Amino acid sequence: MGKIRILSDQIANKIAAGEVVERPASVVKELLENSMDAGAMTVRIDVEAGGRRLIRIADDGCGMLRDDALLAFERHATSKLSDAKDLLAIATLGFRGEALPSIASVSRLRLETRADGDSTGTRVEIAGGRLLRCEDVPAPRGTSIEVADLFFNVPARKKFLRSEQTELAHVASLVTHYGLARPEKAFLLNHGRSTLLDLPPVETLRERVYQVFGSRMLEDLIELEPAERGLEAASDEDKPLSFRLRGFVSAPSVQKLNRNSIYLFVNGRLIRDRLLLHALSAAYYNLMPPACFPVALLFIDCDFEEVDVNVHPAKTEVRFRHGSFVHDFVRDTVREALIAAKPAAAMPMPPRPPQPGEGLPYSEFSQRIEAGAFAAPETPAGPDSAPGKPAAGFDLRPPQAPPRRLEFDPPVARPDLDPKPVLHRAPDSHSLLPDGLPLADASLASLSDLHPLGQLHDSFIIAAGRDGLWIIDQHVAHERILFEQVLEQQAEGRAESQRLLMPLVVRLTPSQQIEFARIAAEMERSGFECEPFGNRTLAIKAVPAGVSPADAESLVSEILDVSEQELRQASADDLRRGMAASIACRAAIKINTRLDAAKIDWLLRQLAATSCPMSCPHGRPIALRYTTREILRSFHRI
Amino acid sequence: MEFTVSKTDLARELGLSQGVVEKKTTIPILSNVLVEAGDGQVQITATDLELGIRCSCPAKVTKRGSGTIPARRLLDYVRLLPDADLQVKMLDNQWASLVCGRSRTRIAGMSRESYPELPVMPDPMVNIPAGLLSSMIKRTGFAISSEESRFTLNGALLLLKADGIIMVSTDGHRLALTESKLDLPAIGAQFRALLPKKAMVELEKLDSEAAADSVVRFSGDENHLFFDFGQRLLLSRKLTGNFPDFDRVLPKDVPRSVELNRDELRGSLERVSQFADERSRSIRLHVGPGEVKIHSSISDTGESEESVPVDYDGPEMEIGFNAQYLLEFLRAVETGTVSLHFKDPNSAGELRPVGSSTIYRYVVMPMRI
Ligand SMILES: Nc1ncnc2c1ncn2[C@@H]1O[C@H](COP(=O)(O)OP(=O)(O)OP(=O)(O)O)[C@@H](O)[C@H]1O
Ligand SMILES: [Mg+2]
Ligand SMILES: [Zn+2]
Repeated sequence: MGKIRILSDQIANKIAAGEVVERPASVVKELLENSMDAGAMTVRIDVEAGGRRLIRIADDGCGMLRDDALLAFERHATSKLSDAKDLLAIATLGFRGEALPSIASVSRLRLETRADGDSTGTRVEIAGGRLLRCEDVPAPRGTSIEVADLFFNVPARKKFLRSEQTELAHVASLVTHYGLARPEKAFLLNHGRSTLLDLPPVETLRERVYQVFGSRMLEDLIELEPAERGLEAASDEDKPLSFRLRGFVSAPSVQKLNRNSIYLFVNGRLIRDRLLLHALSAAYYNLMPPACFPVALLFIDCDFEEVDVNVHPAKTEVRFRHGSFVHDFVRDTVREALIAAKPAAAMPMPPRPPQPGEGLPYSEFSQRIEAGAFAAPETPAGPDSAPGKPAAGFDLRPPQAPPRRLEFDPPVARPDLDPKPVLHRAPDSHSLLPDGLPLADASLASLSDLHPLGQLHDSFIIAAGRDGLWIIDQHVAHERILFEQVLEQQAEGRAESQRLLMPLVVRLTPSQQIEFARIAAEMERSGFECEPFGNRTLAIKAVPAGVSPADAESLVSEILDVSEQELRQASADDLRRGMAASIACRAAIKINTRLDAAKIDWLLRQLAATSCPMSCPHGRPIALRYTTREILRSFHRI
Repeated sequence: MEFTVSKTDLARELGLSQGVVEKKTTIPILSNVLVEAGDGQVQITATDLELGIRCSCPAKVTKRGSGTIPARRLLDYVRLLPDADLQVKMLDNQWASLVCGRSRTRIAGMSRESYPELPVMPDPMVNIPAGLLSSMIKRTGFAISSEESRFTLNGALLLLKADGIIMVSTDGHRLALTESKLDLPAIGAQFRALLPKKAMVELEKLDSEAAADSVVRFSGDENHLFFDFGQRLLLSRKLTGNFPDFDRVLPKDVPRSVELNRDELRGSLERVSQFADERSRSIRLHVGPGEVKIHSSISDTGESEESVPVDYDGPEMEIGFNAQYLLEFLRAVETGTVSLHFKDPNSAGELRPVGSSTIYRYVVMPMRI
């Protein structure tokens, strides 16, 4: 008895319709998702010419009976939905019954499958949507689908395909994403004869992150304690809801210029979602400069009814029923993890990525592929990847070449020293996390027992710690201390304020004037006493304590400008934080200021006591650490 | 150039020039002192182009001439020499040779050609008794703001009038004013100038070293101020800018006041402010019948309170202040008793010495805590 049935028109019409297949990566995505839904534990993907010539995916999932194998190519034929109610709680990655027919209509497709417990397998061949053949064949359990000559019959679409490298980059990015989402499964991605990704199954997400990105990346990542937050049921009929979040986020010192390193999964599905991206940015607010983004790998799990995946034909967008709850949950969990971990920035700081990426989902990892890092095959061909050999019954033996790993965030190239472009590096994977790997334990909690050695350029505090040498930027350190103090005082409504001998009269721009009218009460709460003084002039009579009168004027105009430009839509809370950041910046010890030993001591102790000693309210790092290990390595002692 | 000089004399005069020598060697020659040997004396000149100092001491000059020598290196070396005569000779290659007893040293110098010419002092305008300016600087120097802006100046106002000298400084939160009565008929209406903080530091040094009954000849031109101590001359560029109208700031209406023992108040403030916020140093003064209570504002490190007895029966009042501001006055004021004048928690407070003819007013703005 087959499992697949054709959806009624009534259900089919409820499904977000649109283009399913845009490029090789969309084919890989659909086929990978099918394999996941089929319960496969091992998936092998082979592509040729960036997937334009050939995409082949073989899994060891449940397979299909002969009838199903044929039915699967009908539109709206799916085993994953039976009635309209199911649409409200989708538990599988697929649900439309659209993927296979769409792919089959624009390529030459060959499917080989054998269902669990069936003695023979089935082979189906379709070209441009026309069934060419259907026959019994011996086949291993599972399903293998070969998609050749994508868009051979749609030249207009074919024209829009980008270069082989670009298409390959998208494919690799996709497989990476699914690899991260399912550490317990094995993934192998080959391009021609070279292996791009080889991920044997591992037990934890941490190990999978290590396999994909390497130890260097892992050192900069903070693992979230799995968090759970319940939502009271709105009515008696509803059951109480629960949301779970786990994953990794980067230390604020890791600053990316785009969102490409943010991986969001909802119930195991890779998505792009503005709400979640915003929640993540909010978690890093005041920890990272505004135009920078962290690396994040977030897995949100919740009841299937809570999230509508039937929003977009590509299934990459979702809609949460309780969006703002999810937003706050993600923001708070990530922020708390950052605060608890107090990650110390390593020295030297990781370089900023050189190229701003475009197009999502699209990672830096894949950009490197596009940049040609995998242009030519690098490992000698293994026995399985001999040209022409069918991909049946693949094995996942470790690669023969010496293990090599793709640095996720490689040091900046120094062309003068090393003029040869690194062309032949394969992202070799690591089966196991080696013992003694320095894990991300570089916590700023150890700030409190530093032994200050002195100042560099009267601006940076140099201190010895048990675990290495520290450099602390005195201005931003004090800024962080004051920022938290001002926030606290604002909250308690007792901001200290110093009256000026003579009111400071400042001219306002028209927009500053409007803004002042809007935020005057908040300014007073923060310790200002200002009075409009004729047209477009303001008399400042008192400023927050610690702000020198010399800085008062620029501080006021900064606050009025910032709030106008950035915070017009911002909440009162954002407004206060912005104001506190400006005040702290003005009141903080400046660079080029000699500090005596007692003051340095005081500063370090106060910094250690703050909740976020890793970055200033504008997101600049406060402390760098040169680990003993790094020092030893630099002196060739280890 | 060749001369013999007492090591002690030379070390003392070189010491006085150190504060002026450019520390950041953007212009290398400015880290040197200019040494000139003339009639029976040597002159040592240092400048950072804002400030200049010229000191001299007696010497046996065998050959007139001049040269420049790195200031720091010269002083450090000369200090270590025994108290004896030191023979200095400028060699042809701009090296200076120093011979003292059994020590011989040569220091690489630089040609004097590129050393800046200091402006020439015009005829003195007035004579000011030595020690007067330095005591005025002590009373006002601490209230100068360390940064310059439209609103504050990195220096003090020096005002000479026919009947005395006024010095005023402010950082926008407080203002210190002191006036010394003196007959200066030569001044005419008045002479007004802004004296940079750095010049005040050097002037205080020179003035307190001057012999007790000597005078300072003062003069100024359009851009400079000159203080001539006889053997030593300090000249400074005037600070440009507008000094705030201090008369408007001096409180006119201060209905209440208390007199306090300076050392008691100072001790209490020092102890209590240990528990004040490190940044704002905020404390509260609670004036009540018979006592002024001083307490720290809330802080996570602790709390502290003290009281100083006073003779007061006016209304109770609590005013917040930056303890640091009060302490700086108490450390500068000469009298054992001070008075605090106040009106309400939002108006300026004022501290003055009690029992002295010196005019000294210190206005401090309160804090809202
Ligand atoms: N690798 C596979 N192993 C087992 N069954 C498969 C596999 N791929 C597809 N199928 C079957 O074929 C059906 C049709 O697949 P198709 O991808 O077209 O639709 P879908 O996955 O149900 O929905 P969607 O269009 O959202 O992907 C699936 O419902 C599933 O039963
Ligand atoms: Mg599917
Ligand atoms: Zn900052």
